[in-house]
Amino acid sequence: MTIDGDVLEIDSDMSITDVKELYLFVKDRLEYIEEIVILGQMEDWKTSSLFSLLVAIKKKKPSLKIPAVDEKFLDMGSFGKFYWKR
Amino acid sequence: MDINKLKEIFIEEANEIVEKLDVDIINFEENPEDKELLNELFRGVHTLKGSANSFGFTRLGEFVHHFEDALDFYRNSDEKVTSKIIDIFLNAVDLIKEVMFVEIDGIDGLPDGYEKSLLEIKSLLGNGDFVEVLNEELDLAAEFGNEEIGLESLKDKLLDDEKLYKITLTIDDDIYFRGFDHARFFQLLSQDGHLLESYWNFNEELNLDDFSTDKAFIKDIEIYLASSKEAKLIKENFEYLEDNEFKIEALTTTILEPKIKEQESAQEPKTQRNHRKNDAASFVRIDTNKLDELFDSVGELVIAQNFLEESEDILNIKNENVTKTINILSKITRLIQNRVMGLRMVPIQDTFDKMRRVVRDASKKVDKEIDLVIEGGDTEIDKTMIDSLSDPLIHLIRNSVDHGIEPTKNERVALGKSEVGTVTLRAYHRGGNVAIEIIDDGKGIDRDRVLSKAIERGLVSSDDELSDAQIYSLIMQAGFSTAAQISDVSGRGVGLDVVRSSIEKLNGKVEISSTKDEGTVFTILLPLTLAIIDGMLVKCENDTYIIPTLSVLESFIPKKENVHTFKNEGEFIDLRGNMIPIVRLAKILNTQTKTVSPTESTLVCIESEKGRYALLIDDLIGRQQVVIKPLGYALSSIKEFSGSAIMGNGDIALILNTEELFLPEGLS
Repeated sequence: MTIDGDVLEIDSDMSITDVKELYLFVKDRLEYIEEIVILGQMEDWKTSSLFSLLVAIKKKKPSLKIPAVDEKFLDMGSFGKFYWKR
Repeated sequence: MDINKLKEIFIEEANEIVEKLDVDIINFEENPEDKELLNELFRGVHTLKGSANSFGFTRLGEFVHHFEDALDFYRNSDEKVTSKIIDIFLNAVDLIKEVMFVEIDGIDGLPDGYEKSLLEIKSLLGNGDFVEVLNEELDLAAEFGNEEIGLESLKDKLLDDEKLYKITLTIDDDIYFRGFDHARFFQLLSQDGHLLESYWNFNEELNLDDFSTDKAFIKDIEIYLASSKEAKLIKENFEYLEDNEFKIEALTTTILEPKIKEQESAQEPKTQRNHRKNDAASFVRIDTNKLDELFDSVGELVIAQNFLEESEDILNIKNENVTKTINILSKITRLIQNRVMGLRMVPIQDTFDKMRRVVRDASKKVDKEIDLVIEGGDTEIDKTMIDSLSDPLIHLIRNSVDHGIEPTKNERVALGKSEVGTVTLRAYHRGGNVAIEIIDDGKGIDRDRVLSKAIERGLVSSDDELSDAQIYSLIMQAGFSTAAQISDVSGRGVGLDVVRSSIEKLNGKVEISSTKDEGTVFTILLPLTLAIIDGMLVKCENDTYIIPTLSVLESFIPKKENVHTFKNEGEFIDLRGNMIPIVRLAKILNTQTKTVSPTESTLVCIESEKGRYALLIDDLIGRQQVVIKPLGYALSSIKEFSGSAIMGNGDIALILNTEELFLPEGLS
């Protein structure tokens, strides 16, 4: 997890512990973050809590760009395409 | 397999489907009670839609999708399919052909008439609400802001042995606490097949302030899995979950398939179904290039075999076993040759079936009622020729419909004929050739009118003595048309000459016979295959040449009194009262070492597009079927030769292009 200016880069293979850390990091810095991008292979994805968190962030700050949940669908490779209820 | 190869396969398969659509629609019009034909149509369109979407051909996919809806409506309802609806279906097939063209060639925009035809198709569903019923399940996709994705497109992604499963996970919010994760189930499922899509529905209470990784905020996930495994095996992935936390449904047998299967079981006898299954298993799709390679190799085998049979060294071996073995080898070689030849042969029925649409359209345009009769559809012909035969046939049929059949029923009745005209397509074997006849029971060709038109245009002189067949053949001269009124169907004066040249390119020819008030017969004569010709082997200046026997009328040694020389016009032979020019082959080919008298040579009378002539050669060797070999780049520009062949003794003989050996004085 790195922050480059106002873009937060996170890894696709985050564990549930990593997601907890991410939550704690983001919730106090939300106003400074303009975009969250996921790096790495989506097939390395480990936990559904990551997407719950991203959707929660988006709900809280709709202007924040999160391509993984903003796009029509997220291509997860061998896990297929993920669509989010809006 | 690269994308271009896949695209080639798509084009080939799509073309086959589209051609069959035309035939099935016409057949359905003739048998409106046969719902199985509608099922066939539906299946064809459904397959086309799947292929189009998988290649990203969205314009084709969309159009075909609506067409499929319309066909589905009629196959599942008692609505009558009227002639007007058949017109809409046929127009839709035409549009599909055009959309395919723009998709394959990557052309932007839509073909003319796309919107109109689409509206017509949609209008067929105007009063039905079945679309909503059918697409009820698809609302899920719309809810997720993704209207284009639906079960139909998911089903199109299934491999042959796969089923589509919908798996709904409604795991309690303590999932993480229990040591599970949705991600883990995705990993397990991905090993059971291929995961296509999943739709995630989060709890409404999900918000950042109350977020916690101790609790899951996912209400449910609908997962679409393509798998060849049975549901009970997939179920094993969830053995540690409560029964109410997951649900597995097999979808492939719930929406479209049962409609097809129900109708099949209701209307199709079991034996027929089994037959189809066996049919599918009995065929293998083979690249024609591979067949050509195989054919070439067998050609080489035959040449080697001939060499063995003719070799003096081997003939001198006086050993019974050797002779016997060579004889067996010879028989097996011929057997293999015949079987490989057979691989290229296909029945002409499919091509004939396509002509039903041609007759329907053409007869509607000229407002004549005409029946098409097909005979000998099981006659086999070389696949290469089939592809080139469609256009000439279409033109000849249009010609029969437009000019052959009488303009009004009254005219027919006055001649004692039925009100409905008949055009017959007949195929059969004649000698070593395939004959295809296009017969109409119309008014016949006006012999005198053709002759006067030909004289008027300078094609023949009024002094020429021409047989009926020669006069009729004049209508195939370029620019010749006797149609008083140019119609949409034919009669533009270009066409019949194109028919003739197309058939000649296939080493064939067209014969015409006609009887006033009884009708006309156009006979297309074609060799059985383009890969082998029946040739007459001739000797000229110690070289061997092959003349295709289809162009040979007769051969003879002339008598001195029949040979005449005219100043500045050359030599002629008086053949039963007709003066025919003599063409010296050695002179044409620049191989002449001495000038021999025609009486010491042999003349082969040749029928060519430019007229009849007598080819002077040294001697006749015999008649033989030869495997045609292309001349290659360097020799292909020599117009006097059309190919080559390897003889039994290993020598190469050139095949003469009889159309290019003679140029009449007036044309030179």
